[in-house]
Amino acid sequence: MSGEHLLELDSVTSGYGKKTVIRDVSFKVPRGQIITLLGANGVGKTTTLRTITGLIKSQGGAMLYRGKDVSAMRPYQIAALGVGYCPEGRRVFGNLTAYENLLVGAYRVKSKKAFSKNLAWVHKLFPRLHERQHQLSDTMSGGEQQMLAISRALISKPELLLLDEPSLGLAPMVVEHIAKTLIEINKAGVSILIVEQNAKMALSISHHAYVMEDGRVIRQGPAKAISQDKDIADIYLGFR
Amino acid sequence: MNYFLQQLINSLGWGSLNALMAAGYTMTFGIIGLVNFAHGEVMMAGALAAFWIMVVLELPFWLGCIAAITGSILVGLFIERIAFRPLRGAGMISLFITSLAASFGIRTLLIMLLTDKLKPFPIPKFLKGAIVLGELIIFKKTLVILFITFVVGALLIYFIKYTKTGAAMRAMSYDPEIAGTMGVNTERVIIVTFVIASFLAGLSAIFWGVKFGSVRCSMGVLIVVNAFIASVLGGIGNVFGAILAGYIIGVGETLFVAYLPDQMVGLRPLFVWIVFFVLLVIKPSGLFRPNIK
Repeated sequence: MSGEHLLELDSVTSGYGKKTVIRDVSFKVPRGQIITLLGANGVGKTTTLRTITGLIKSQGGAMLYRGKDVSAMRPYQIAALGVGYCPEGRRVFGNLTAYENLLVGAYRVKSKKAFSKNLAWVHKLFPRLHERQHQLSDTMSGGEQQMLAISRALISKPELLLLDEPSLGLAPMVVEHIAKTLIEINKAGVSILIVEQNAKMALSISHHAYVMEDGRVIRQGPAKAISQDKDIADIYLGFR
Repeated sequence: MNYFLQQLINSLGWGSLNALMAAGYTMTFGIIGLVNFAHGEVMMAGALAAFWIMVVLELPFWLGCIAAITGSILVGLFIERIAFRPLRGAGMISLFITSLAASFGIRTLLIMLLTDKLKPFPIPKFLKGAIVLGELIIFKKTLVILFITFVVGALLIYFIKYTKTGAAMRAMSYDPEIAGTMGVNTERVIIVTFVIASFLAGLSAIFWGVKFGSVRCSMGVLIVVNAFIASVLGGIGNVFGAILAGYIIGVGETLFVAYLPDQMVGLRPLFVWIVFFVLLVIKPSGLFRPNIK
């Protein structure tokens, strides 16, 4: 039983029907760390996260959460294990207020006291949301929706937080705020798996990084080493 | 003026019926994108179950009511299992076609077994009689129907707006995938939605029987069109909007017929289509905010 790793993917292959998008993807998220999955547009980073959350069924390999095989689980069961998910493109529930979004995010939180405590925590992390909690999330700005999406993933006090491109389409200042907040969240005990195109931001907050290309993991290492790797720069700039 | 008021009062029972059918309809429309042609047959099933209990088995009215609710819920769940669950995620058109099949299948089967002749729906003494207000006659049954609709409607709206499950239903109407990743058991919520919608249809069946004194196998054919148009009018997935729109359509339809010359009374079904056309031209999203993306 691999007790030290919260999440472990071992040679996972996945895709949509006959189309295979990721192949033999392996990586580990140790407890308490921030791990990043990097790669250009279309390499399969989102597919990887969607497979972990159960939105896509994997076609091969094993996915273990706390040592338990979760490959056959449905999304709500994986959420119940303690996985919080912040999807690509925010995908807040536009017809609900910010507060109601959090209410749904906390669906598996049984006690009202725990919900209030988590709500206070989330409002401390993102005070702007606290001001706008009864505003319809459809009418919020991109940055506010991103904060809401992250809060919604955190409101259940998950063990593992999955983030898919949280910096997409956001102003640099907002991205910086989110980066700082993610470090704070990690210090509070939440392990993080972040998928990003913005390599600089992701590597600045991560412990370890995996680089994907064409559906495979082609390189991995400590974040600092990866950030200094010249080959990675070439891949990102498309010279290969 | 008196004629208008009398017709208005007369229309309230029919308005309530349309309101409850629309509310149930909009719930399944919003949550899985289902244009449910078979919702009329879910109501009809409840009506026939009540007829069977009260007229064939000669059991009391309250048992008939329980039979109506139970019958509608069972048939509603049966249709979900057979016609809709196998097509989960298949898209609106496929779901519509399968609901059409369920509608024709159930209706035709029951007509074959029971004929489409009118079947009596006996009502107890306390529902008979009327109150006279000047020149206006208000039937007691109309008041009872209104009262029950008000209570049920209020409870339903409270449930949708202020409970966690209600928020989950609205979230699923907007983005079912992501709702699932938040820990919402989407399959279970869909079942609950069908139970509620079928319950409302069963209640409508009782109202129909009480108001008209009879039921028949083809009773669901036109009401489902009203329910569909009312849910679009009210904003898809919006229960409050559907209830209001149901009243607008029920009352409007009755007044429309009341002012038509006698030979043109057959044009009754035209009313909802005029409403629908005007709606699509002026404000297709409906009177109130829809719950879908």
